[in-house]
Amino acid sequence: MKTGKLAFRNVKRSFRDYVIYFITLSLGVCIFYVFNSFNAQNTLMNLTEAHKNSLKSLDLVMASLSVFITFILGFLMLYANNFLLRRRKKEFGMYMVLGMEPGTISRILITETLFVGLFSLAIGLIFGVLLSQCVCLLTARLLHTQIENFHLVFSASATVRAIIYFGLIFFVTLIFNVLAIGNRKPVSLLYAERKNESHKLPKTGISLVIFLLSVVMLGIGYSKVLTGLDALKSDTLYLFAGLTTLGTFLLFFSLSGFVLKLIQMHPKVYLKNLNMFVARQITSKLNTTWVSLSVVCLMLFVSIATLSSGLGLTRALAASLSDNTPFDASIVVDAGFLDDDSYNTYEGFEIKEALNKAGVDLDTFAKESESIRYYKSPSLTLSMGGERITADTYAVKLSEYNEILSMQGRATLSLSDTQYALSCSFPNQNLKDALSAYVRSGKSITVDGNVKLNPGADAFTTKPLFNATNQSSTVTLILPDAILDGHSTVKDVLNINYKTDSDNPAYSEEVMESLCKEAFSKLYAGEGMRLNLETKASVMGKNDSDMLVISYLAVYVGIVFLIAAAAVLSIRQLSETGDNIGRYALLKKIGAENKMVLRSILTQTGIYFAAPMVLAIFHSIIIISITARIVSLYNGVGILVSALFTAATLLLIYGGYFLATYLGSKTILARDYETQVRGEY
Amino acid sequence: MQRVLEVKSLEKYYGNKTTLHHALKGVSFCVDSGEFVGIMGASGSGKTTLLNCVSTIDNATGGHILINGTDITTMNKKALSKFRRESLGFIFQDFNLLDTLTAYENIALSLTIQKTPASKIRLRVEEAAEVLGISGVLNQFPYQMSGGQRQRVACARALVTNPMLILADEPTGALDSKAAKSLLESFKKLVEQQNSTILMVTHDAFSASYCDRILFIRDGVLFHELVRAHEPRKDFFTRILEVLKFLGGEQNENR
Repeated sequence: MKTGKLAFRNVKRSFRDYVIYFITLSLGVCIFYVFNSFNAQNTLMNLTEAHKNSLKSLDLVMASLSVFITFILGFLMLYANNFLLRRRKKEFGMYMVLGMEPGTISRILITETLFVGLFSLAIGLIFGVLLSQCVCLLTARLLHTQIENFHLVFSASATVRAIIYFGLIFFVTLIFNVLAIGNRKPVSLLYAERKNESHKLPKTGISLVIFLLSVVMLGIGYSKVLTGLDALKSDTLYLFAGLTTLGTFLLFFSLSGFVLKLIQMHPKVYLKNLNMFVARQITSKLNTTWVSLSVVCLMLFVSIATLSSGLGLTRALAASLSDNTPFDASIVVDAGFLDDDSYNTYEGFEIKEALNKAGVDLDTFAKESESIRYYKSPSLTLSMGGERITADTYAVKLSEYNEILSMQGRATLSLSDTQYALSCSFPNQNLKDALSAYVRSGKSITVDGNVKLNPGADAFTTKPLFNATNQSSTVTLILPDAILDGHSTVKDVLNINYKTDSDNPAYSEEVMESLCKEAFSKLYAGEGMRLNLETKASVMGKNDSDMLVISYLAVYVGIVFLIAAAAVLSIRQLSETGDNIGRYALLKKIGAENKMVLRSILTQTGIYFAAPMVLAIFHSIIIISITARIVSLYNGVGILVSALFTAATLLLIYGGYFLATYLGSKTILARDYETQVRGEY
Repeated sequence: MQRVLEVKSLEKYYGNKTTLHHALKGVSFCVDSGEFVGIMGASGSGKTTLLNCVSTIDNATGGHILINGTDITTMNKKALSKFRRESLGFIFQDFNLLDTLTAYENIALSLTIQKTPASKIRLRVEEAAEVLGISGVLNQFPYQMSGGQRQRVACARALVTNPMLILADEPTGALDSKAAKSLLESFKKLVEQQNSTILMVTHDAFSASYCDRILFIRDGVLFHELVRAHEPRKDFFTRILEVLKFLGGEQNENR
């Protein structure tokens, strides 16, 4: 096992070079495990069937997303591996010169890759198991349940998935390594480190023009999204994405051409300490790495946008949740999807009667049940945000409306024969404001051609009249009973509250569902008719499931992109410090203090990390502002919390990589400096 | 005449638990202001170790080094950095210019490290460039220059801070004979006109023949000293070769 020993020693010795590689790989495995282990978490919590199903569907979504994530991590690993290899080509060239056979060298490489792979896989899985324990606390919160009998959960399926997917990554890396080293001539390896750096910077004038062009592009992209009322249309978003991408690339391309000139114009800054050196280093780096900087910037953009927007949306969903389910169950029969002819002749549907005929005795499980019928009614013209809009309406009888209110234990509404009230529970503040303004201004409405009604006292309410996953934007008119007598309905609703004393298992979710279906099919099987059973549990379940999927999806994608972006920067910066060790040694030789040299590295690392981040934050603010607008539709929940969460994640991961990079550079400098100074020894 | 450098029984050991190498075994000598002194010796003789110790890059195991009366063997790291940038100038065999900076910036760098006010930098860089005849290439990058030009830029960088002592480690090692000759002429000019003091390590007899005085080192001890009298450079060159012949001959006998 001589090759094994050599490989192990190699890894140990070049641990410094491998550190970021290790961290990234382990972090990748860890995150991968956490987001693939949801199905195993259900043993920790007391969950309903619906919630168990939502964990299952989350697991499915994550499994398919993980294929995509594996590709990203795979590319990242190849990229990192490439840099490691470049630094070690000379070493392998030396082995060859000393007469080692290509087969042996390949064996060393394979053993090394295996060591690194197995080690980081193990570390990643251990941390993954630990982290998934913390994540299940969050899952419990999102599912509105508590952790019971807390114990260590181990997901075999996530582990197997991680081993297979990362095994594939290692395998590809392995092949790549063997191809890159095994079959090369020693000469090309020995002199691999010698590269011709280009110091030619683009012309200042051209660069400035390109820079201005990129700024204009970004400006147009931003303003299209910010000012247009149609910001949410996909065309606008595509345009924004296109302009932002192109603008980012052009911006980073143009920077190296004039930033140096800009600093040189201020000799007091330029000719101070090592500023000259730092400025030149950064421009030459911008000049050679503008493509990867742009890609990193866009990855950060995706990361920030998904993290903050995804979580913002789930918070909006969460806020609307409690309002959407005032009853234990609602049965809704809607004729709204019938074709015109059937719709015009449709006369209504008696749900209670239908249930009776199907042999369902409501009294056995329902504490109370009330139906409310929706009638056709004319549309309203409202002024919303300066625009005139037409709102579709239904009408309900005051008496039925009051029954529904008293079923919820709320005060009833009283209207005279010439008064009306409005109800709308669509979670859009603008619409609510418009409706509220409409009744407050005392506007009258005309129904049945000639009956004129005025708004009653407290004539606008927002409480929903039945359970719904998403509340409709249709406005409901509450009218005196007499006006609606003899009209035909378009939607019939039966609200039910279960008996609380007997927890009758015969009327579980599934049973209710089949009963309703049976009753519905016996009475009416018209084309386009819909019967919906919306129980509190199912609405909550659907909501929870949506929230779970959206938020974990966002966090997963966001974090992986963040890691990828930070790792690319880190690897490039570290390998550059390694390449430039001679320059730093020289600075010290001509008298620069260690502190001064370290500060120059800190400045370089800082600018290198900050540049793509700053631009990405600018892009993200635009996207977040759109999300904020969507979110404000949902009860105006602020986006602050998700923004804070995003900031904390950025600080932890991106900041962590920045710190690791700086400390890594510092170690490289401290260790290589002595040998470099003495040179010959 | 002012004494710029005084080395007193300098000792240097290298090694670890298993091996020990006695690189310098008590070397003593002096350099006066305005002198151009060469140090010669075969590789492994300890001449670069000596230069590293004098240039404060390496620390001595025993003995003292006084530069302008200051003992540098007792200074701490920070004081050494300060001392190095204010009192010493360096010229290396492989030029050691920063390839990302122009000639002007390379020279200016040693001033900015000293925190010289930005307003004074241009004049001083131009003066140094004038002396070394590189005013024309100040805005070029190292890769655009010839080897001789690069070495003169490195020389200007060492000179621009007005150091008490310029230390040159095989400065002609990477130059062709014409460029080497012109660089050595520049050194001569610096010593004669600017009263600079240069300590140059070389193994090349031709380069050494430009010096005022040559110290020969062998196996860590000062072996011989040659002082140039009022003689033509060619005669001095012949004398150097004779010493080297003797040095090499005896070395061969010992082996």
